[in-house]
Amino acid sequence: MSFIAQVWHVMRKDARQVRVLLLVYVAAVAASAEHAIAPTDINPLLEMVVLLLFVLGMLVAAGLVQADSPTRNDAFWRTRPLRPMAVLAAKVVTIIVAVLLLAAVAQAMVLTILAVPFRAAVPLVGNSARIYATWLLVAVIVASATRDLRTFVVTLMAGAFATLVSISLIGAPKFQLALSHVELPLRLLGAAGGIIFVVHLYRGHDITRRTLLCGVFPVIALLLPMFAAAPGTPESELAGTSTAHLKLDLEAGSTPVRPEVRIRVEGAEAGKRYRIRSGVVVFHQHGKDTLQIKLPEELVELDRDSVVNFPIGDASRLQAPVDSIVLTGTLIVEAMASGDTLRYRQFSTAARDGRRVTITKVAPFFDDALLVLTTTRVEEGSTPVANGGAGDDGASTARLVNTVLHESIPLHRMRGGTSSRSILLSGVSLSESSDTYKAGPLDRFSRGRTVDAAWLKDAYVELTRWVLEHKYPVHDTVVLK
Amino acid sequence: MTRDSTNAVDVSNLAYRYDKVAALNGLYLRIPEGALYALLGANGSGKTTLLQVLMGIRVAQQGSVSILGSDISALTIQERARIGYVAEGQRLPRWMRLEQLEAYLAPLYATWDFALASQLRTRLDLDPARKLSTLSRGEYMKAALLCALAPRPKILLMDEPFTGMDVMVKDDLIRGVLDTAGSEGWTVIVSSHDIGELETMADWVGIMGGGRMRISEPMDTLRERFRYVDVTLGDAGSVPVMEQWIAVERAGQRLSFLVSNADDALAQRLTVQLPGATRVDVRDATLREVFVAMSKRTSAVAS
Repeated sequence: MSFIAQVWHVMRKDARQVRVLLLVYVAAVAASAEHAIAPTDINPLLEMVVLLLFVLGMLVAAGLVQADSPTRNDAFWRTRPLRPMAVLAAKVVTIIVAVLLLAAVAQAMVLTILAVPFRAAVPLVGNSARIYATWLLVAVIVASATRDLRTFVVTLMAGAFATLVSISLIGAPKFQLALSHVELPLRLLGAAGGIIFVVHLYRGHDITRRTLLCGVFPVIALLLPMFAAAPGTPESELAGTSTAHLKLDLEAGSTPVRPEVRIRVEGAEAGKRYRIRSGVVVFHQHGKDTLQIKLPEELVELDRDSVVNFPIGDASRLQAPVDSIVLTGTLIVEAMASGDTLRYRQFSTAARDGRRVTITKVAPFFDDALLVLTTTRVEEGSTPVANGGAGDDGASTARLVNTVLHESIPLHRMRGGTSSRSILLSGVSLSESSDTYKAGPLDRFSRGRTVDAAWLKDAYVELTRWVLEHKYPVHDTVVLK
Repeated sequence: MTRDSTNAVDVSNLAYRYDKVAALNGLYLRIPEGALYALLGANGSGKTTLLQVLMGIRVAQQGSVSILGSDISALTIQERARIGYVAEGQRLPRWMRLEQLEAYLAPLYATWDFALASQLRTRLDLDPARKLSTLSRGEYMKAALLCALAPRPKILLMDEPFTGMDVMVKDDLIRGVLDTAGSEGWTVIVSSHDIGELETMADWVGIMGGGRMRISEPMDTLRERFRYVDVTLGDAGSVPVMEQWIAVERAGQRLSFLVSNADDALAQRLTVQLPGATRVDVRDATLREVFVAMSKRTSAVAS
């Protein structure tokens, strides 16, 4: 039997062996796809399907590997004339085709249905597939080093627990920034190390515990980059910031409260918008306890001096005299694009980039002037474990504009909410934001004008929002239906 | 030592350690082609490790191993296909039905004999439609044996294949092996604690101890070489123990031991050496007696 014939032979056997798990996986893919495109409210329970898909994918990968375990000396395949590399190749091909490609193709189909253009969808699917492949490789490594599915699951759970503990240590912004500099080498090292490890197990004999423990290193190298700060994030080291930058409101008595810290962001452009994703400021108080404050996530616009003012909050209690406090800290700052103006026609518009906007409620717009704008957007982001709200990155202005009369009504955002769900795989999510606007008075050139249905006929909603520069490209034009 | 091409197995100075424990320690072994070789040894003597090395499951840490004239590390897939392996507790894909297992294995072997597989299935009373997970221990081992024999291996390695089986199943298996392997001239190496069964089927015997072969020779030679001596003493006084006596045991006035390379005049010599003996019986030693004697000798040396 040739090498290729053996690969195909083992693949068919494997497919039969894990067929039940595979069928459940296919069902989960279908359910996830349906969930992604269904025009229903985001349901946390349904969101679990995505997590289930992810877990099932790893279980299928582990099941396939352990069907012909490389570490068990009593494994059936070792007593048969099977080439170790053919057995491994069969596992890899099956995982790629039946697990990875299946989900990736389903995701691409969903993106097509969501009107994401092909050129935008390819990198999105590619990124998702890369993340998923990383986890599948982790599953293959762990499955290769464990004797059965139960040990695999226990090992993974122990690993997840260790990760949770580690996050508290390595989740510090400084560590994330350091990781971002070695993200790519770590990924490559992890992938290469993982492949070498698994190949070694299949080709080798008499695998010792020490050899098995070596599998920990590629797994760490593969997973660490997931904690890295976003690419292209400028950093600002605040070591040694003088106390002059610390402005404090002093209450009666000796304890300063509600301090505000002014931070100069080096390397940032004045007048440009940034999002402070996370930051930590440490107050070193002479003779007193060191106080560490986590800065809130917010959108800021830098003034001419590139300085950001941060209220530290009531919880902070500085004990030392202000003059003796020294600040150090780290900021993760993400630059925002200069602005993204979107124009929405009433009731129904579709954007080329996959954004879907529906004005769900207009009346009684002119009485109480309320308008609900629902935006659905496909974007890069989210993790397999947690899907953070990835809605607007910060809308700034909204207007109702009549193009014929050159008149406009400013819209004031009253309330809004965002939520998101993964589109099958992590790395691409469907975010939905719902904002309620209240109409302001007509601009000064249009005062006295009656806004009626005829006026509204030529009107559109213009919304300018800020988006992260490195995020999925946002176009400033939409195709009107 | 020169390698003999007529040997199915040729092992020189083989060593294998599990961490600090030496399972095989400078082992030499030659098994001629076509031999039905009984591999005996106490628990932990290294039988399973030796068979796993011969199968290629474990790699020798020292020494050389050749199977059917080829170095084991350089065996091609085709050459590996000529080695059959059955072991106690061997993991078969239990989710398969027997017919599925056969269908999976057959393409891997150019020599797979469908007719033989069918014959063995009938002979061993195996239902091809049954899942392996539903088979009893005996049926499971029969299935493993079928899958090892159907490819018509040139050499068949069997590690404790009869453990925990009832007499009927054991008999079926032994007959299955003997009829098929014997008539085809295959080499069969079988390790077992069931010495009685091995004695009836094997024509070669090897006894392991301390990670080495203590004895490896044809069964007939072994039987001729060892004599079992049973002496009844006239009084319970002390008796001089000769150096060539093996596994000497004394219970009251009875003294028993084995003598290697004994000639026909042994009984007469013993009568002279033991003037107080009222009776001296000398007969061919059984395999069990030789095995026990060699095992005791090994453990005595080890201690």
